[in-house]
Amino acid sequence: MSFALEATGVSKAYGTVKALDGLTLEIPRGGIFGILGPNGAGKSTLFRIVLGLVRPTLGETRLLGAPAGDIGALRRIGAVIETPRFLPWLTARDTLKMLALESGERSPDIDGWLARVGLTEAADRKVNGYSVGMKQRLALAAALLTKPEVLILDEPTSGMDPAGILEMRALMRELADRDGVTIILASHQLDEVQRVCDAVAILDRGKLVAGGRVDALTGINERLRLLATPVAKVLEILGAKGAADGEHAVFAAITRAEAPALIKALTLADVEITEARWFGGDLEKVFLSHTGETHAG
Amino acid sequence: MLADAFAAERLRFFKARGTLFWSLCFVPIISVMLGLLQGFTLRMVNVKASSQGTRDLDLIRTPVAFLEQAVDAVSGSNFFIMQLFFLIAGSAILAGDYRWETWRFLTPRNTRTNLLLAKLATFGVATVIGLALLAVGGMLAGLVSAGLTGGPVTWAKPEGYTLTQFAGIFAIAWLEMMALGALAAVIAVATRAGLAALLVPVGVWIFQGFFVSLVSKGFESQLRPPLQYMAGLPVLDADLLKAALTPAAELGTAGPVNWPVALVALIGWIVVLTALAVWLFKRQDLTRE
Repeated sequence: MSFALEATGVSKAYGTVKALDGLTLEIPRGGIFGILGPNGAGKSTLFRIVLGLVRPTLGETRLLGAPAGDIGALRRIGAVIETPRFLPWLTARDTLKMLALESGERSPDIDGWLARVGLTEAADRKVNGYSVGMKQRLALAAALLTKPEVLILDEPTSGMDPAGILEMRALMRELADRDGVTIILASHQLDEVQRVCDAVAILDRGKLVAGGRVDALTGINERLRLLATPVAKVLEILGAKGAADGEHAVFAAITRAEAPALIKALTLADVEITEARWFGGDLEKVFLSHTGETHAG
Repeated sequence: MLADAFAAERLRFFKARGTLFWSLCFVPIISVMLGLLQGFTLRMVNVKASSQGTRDLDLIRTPVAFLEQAVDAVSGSNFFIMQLFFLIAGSAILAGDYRWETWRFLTPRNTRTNLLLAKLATFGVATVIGLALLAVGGMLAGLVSAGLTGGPVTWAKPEGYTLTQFAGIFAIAWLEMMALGALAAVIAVATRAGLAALLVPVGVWIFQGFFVSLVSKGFESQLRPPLQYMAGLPVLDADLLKAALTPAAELGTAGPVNWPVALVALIGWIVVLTALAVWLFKRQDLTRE
């Protein structure tokens, strides 16, 4: 299996503070991979190490199979880390032109990328007057300019309005599904991660505490609530997996894969189902169960 | 790769209009205005003297030689002020990415060595333009002054500088600025502060100039004790090289100048300081730019 990013026993200390503590992590190529963690978990430090901005105290990272800092591999990725900052006297178009030159990109599709992130009208305005959301969009365009194979995004929707967030999610999905870009996304917005990511890793205090496919992680505590009559029949079919919720509802502790079979069984048993809705199973619970100590503190 | 970084650095520098004005255009404009003021003042004196019947007006009608004006502009006693203004460009180029926290966009796109060398190369281009503007400003100031006083204008004095000598002095002024820029690069990387990159190198240069002037008396004892012990000082090296190009009539009583040592020392400073800046930058953690 080829990996977009590999970290092996990576530690980084700033004085006495350990930002990363022996982190070992493998992110496969393809799809959208989320990195979650409370503040200080080490997400941004990991990204800075991968991008060659800081050097690890211990351990090794590899990007697209090449050792950290390899400029050939770095040019195959795009990144937006932390709040984007730009040279205030340049316009968006000049900023992209400058960054394309820096990368040795001879024919960048600057207008195309500006259009794709919704900055066509503001392309010739100085970046100084941009909102945080507009800077995020420009940073994304800058990251995509060289048609990267891997895109690293650190809080890409912070400062964006709801419409912008929806556009960003759609764009991420499109890049991953249509263009085959591997996206590594760090975000505090667990709802966003759950919506767009295929797999996640949860970091806490510089260590990997959980990881896997989103549906597998969230499926652990997911339940189906059925509004159905007669309730007794439903409970009989579910057996130990069923629990009554008032007079007309039942909670079924089943996985999503088991749901079609259950519905079919209930229908055959002449149970009238008026509503079926999934409860629980959100990433927040998984996140808090692994990082609860941090949050409690 | 270095060419890519150089092209990107030039683009961003030449779009920074404020920096361009203060670092490259301000002093030449001021010098033209001073020429205008000087000419106007002399003209007033001239008019007053004429009305009083004074006959020594030729003293006021100073002849202007363009090459002398240009040489004076790029190597005159006030050149250290120009160095300060040039370093506005230097600090903006060399420390700008720390100030604006933009290294994170650049370091994944090119090697750190190329990024820093491109900055110094851009500073070199800016300095060439700045020196050219200074020379043109000096000539214009002389022309304006001569126009107002009615003094004669010539290309060069009979025993004065030649065009080749001017070119040499221009190159030496540029080399001295590059040594200053390389020091600014070291300071910028070490402190991550634009103000330090601006003020520390100028302070070091002023201190050197003061020290050299304390020990030497003109150029009578070139590289003989005690000056030979200070041959490594870039300010002295630049002065020695300029003296080597100065026409005999202008140099006065000074003896021959040991210019090869001075040239090697000046270039050596540029190479060593640049290498130090690159070495520091390659090992620097850009946790926060």
